[in-house]
Amino acid sequence: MKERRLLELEFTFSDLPLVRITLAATLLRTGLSRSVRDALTQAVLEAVANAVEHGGGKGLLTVRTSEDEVRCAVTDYGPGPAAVLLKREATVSGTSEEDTADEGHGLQIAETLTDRIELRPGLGGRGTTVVLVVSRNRSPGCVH
Amino acid sequence: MAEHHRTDGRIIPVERLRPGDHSYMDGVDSEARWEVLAAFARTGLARGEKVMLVLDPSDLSDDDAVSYLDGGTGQAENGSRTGQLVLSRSTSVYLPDGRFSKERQLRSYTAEVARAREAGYARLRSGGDMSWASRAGVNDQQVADYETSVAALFADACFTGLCWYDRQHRSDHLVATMRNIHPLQVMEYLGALEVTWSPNGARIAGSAELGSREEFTKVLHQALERRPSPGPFPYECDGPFRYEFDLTDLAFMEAHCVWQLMDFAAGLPKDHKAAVRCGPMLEMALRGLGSAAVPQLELHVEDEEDVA
Repeated sequence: MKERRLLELEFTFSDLPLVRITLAATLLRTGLSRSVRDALTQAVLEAVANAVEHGGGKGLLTVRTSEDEVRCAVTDYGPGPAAVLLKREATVSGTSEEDTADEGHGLQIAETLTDRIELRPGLGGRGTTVVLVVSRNRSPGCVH
Repeated sequence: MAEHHRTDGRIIPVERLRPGDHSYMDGVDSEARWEVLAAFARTGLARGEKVMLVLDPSDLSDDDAVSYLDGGTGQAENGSRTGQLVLSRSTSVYLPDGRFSKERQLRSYTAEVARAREAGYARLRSGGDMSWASRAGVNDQQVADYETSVAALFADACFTGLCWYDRQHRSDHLVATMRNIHPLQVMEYLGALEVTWSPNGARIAGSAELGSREEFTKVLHQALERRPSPGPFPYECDGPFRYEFDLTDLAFMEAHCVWQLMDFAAGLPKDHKAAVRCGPMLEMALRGLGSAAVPQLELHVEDEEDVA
């Protein structure tokens, strides 16, 4: 399966608005429908914000496309293990109401709006790569 | 966060510009302006538009400008190589013989749009620094006449324009006039919020994200505080209240802010409503986090044309 890299962009907190707009512009080049692009943009930006907030303050966003799917990878440089994994566990196991209000919703919505999320721990247990994937045959308006 | 109480004009984030929009931006922060220009250029390049930026001669060099617009994406550098992205200087564009002519400038832009279309681009997107006028002895009225006269260029949606004025070097009168002439004002900062209060709520434009989430939450609290007084005791006579939030120019809302809005609505008395006007992307985020389970929340979704 031949992949094509459309974007590779490092980011920190101050870059987030421009990363958002650049991601949206890049996804225009994938041929995905408007609603699927919007869904993927929302999901990826949750992971990007999470990387800044909980994953060491910076990260790397990569967008790749193939015949079958579009893959957006967000790598953070947090102290690990995987801040996002901890968020997922907290969401699953239940936390205080206040915590729940603040945490876990980004991942929840990201899972709803994509076909698949892959989590890969970084080398030496530091940092995480979150890969958010949508299939090219995903139905517009499809929410899992 | 900027707050307004006016009801005329529309202030939008740059990413909400549509084909055929003639917009205006003022500011004093050069770095913020370049961020807006990068967003403006990257969006245009991805949409298959020809992008033309008319810079002041004292601004960044062409190489530095392309590098900034590119930001490591490769898109602006590629556009510069292929001719999709063109940088010009305001002196050569507006004052080719040292003098300004409104008629000549209109002909020039009309020809640029035609050339862009003939070359296969979807449309022309142009941003121009208007600092040249005062230095060339063009007075405020002449600038206003020119800006008014270009309206016809935008009628067929083949041209998108962003004119920027430096507040430090232009008169308050000119800045105010330009705000009135242009149908749209582009926000000076990416990722910020622009709030315009109305009697029952607020219009919130911009983007509710990590950098603006505290302001977004503050607006929701202020909406509660600003609710008109229910009148004298007993308050039970006070009828259901309907908070109205116009989020149609909110380009993005992160999950945290979505949750805050849903929490705001869920905390209202059962017979009160939070009516939210928004586009499809915000609707998707709200529904994705379970807005249907909040009966006080009413969504009114306005469709948006897809400019791909």
